[in-house]
Amino acid sequence: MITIATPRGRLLEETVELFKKASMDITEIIKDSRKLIFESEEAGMRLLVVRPTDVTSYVEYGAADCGIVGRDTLMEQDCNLYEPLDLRIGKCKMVVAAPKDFEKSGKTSLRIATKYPRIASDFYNKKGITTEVIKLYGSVELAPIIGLSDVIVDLTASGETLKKNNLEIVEEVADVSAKLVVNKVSMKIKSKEIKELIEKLEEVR
Amino acid sequence: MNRFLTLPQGVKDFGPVKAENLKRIETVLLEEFSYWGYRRVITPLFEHLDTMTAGIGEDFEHRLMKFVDPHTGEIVVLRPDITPQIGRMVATQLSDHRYPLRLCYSGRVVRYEEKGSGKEREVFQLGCELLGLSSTQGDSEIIALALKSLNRLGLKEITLNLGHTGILDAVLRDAGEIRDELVYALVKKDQERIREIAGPSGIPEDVKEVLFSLSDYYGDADILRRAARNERFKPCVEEIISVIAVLEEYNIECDISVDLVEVKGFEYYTGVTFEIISSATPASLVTGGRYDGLVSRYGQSVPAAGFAIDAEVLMQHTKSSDGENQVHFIIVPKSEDLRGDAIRLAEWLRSSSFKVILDLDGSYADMIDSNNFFDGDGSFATYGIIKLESPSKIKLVESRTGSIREFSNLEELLAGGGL
Repeated sequence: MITIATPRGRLLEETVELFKKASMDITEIIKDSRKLIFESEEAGMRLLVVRPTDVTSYVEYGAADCGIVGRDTLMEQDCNLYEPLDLRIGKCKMVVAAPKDFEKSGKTSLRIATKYPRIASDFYNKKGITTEVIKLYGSVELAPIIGLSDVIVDLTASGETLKKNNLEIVEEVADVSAKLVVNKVSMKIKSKEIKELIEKLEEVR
Repeated sequence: MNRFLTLPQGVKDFGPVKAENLKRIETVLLEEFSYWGYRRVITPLFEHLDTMTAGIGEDFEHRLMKFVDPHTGEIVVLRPDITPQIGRMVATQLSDHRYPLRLCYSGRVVRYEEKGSGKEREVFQLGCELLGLSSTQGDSEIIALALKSLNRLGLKEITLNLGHTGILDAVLRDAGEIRDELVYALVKKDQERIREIAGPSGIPEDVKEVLFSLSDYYGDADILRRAARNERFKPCVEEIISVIAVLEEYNIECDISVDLVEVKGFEYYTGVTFEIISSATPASLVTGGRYDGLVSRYGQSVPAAGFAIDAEVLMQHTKSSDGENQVHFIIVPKSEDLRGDAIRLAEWLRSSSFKVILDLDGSYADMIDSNNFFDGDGSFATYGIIKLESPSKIKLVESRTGSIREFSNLEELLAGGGL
């Protein structure tokens, strides 16, 4: 039996689809949104539904053997985990966005609002630009409009929310998709089961 | 809370129960090490920065706890690992010893871990080093000793994970400028990224073969057969196989898994490496391996292998020894003039290995008189309370039953009290 931490929300539906393609039926899990543990004897797995940013903690501390987590979270947290497979789901982009009148050239320092302080400062420090990062937990798009920051670093899938708030993409930071992560001890103790899972998912992703 | 009352990240206090458990683990392990002929050495808490980085490698330098020695102005470092210290000690002070040399240690090491990583900065380590033996016989003894030591503590359901530095050495030797990126991808076992980076690189084809089918090089012990098909790495695989054969002779029962492409924390390993893990904890119980190049960094070429056990991780796995260190007797003299008798009795009991508290301020006397003192669990003293009421009236109150026996003098109590 292996335990997999899955993120609630948008990514969960795509995960269910992917697992279905690999002949592992876990649709039960989206039928009752209050249920947080789902067990399937048949598929030999137990699923935990957790907050997307908590997946890595569950896996790193061994509460789950594997997890499904966005590359954005992995980049931000720098976890001690194996990341053997890109699942090619939950695709979006990490971008820098700013109001239309933002002048990109000649800047030596920037004030950035973001949910990803580490990614934001790493990205600009490499370019030799000093950053002042303001960590926000939501509605990041608001920050440059009302002058809280010069730019934002955030995820975007279609760019709709940015457009609605009169923001434009200034630069792309990274392509983001969900990865399968594995606890380092589990990989050594349950290697057969986990390698099987990786193979199955690799075939259908 | 007041800042001056809080501890820095990653360190903590141990109350009596934890401290006693840790002590018990230390005693059992050091005893087992001594049964195998390993003799204990003690190394200093801090050393010169250069001395330490010579052993553990420059890559590790940012994880050290450094400070300036106020006497000399030199940078010194709290030891992050005891193995390099033993390497230095052997090369500089024990160089005329007869090899093989078997040494063990118990001590605390300090590491800098990133804030919020949840990892301890201070680690209680016990370990063994077998110096002067380059064969897999040496590797086998070290691994067998590590496993047997854990058995002695009653640990079951552990997995031995074996590895070898040979493959990664070959991979990284020719990696050139992609080295750092490749190491990072290998740490993550990120097969796609590895393929992306290594594909166009100048790494030899038979080494690339490993990188492109990475998952054939870690897993259960079956992968050894497959891995041995790669001619270049066959000798590495054979070393592991011969270690496993010796372990079978020791009659060791544990699951064995293999990872030939694991990036190890310390760069000084040079051959067979291993880790002992358990599904109950994300941290390794034991890490170790061969480090033939380490001692020569201190001026003498000596092959060696060893391991370190994390005693605190082990403690979470072993039964606690509650009660083992509880007080046996409390002696309560009713008045000042009975103090001499009380001391004499306490000393006699202590010399017979009983743990005895002498009531100094009458605090126990008050409790004895209240009814709730004996709740049957002997939580104050496991055997009983001895109350000296007068030179000719001594009461023994047994903790287990609550029954009271009276004696008319100390000699009678000592002779007939069944103590």
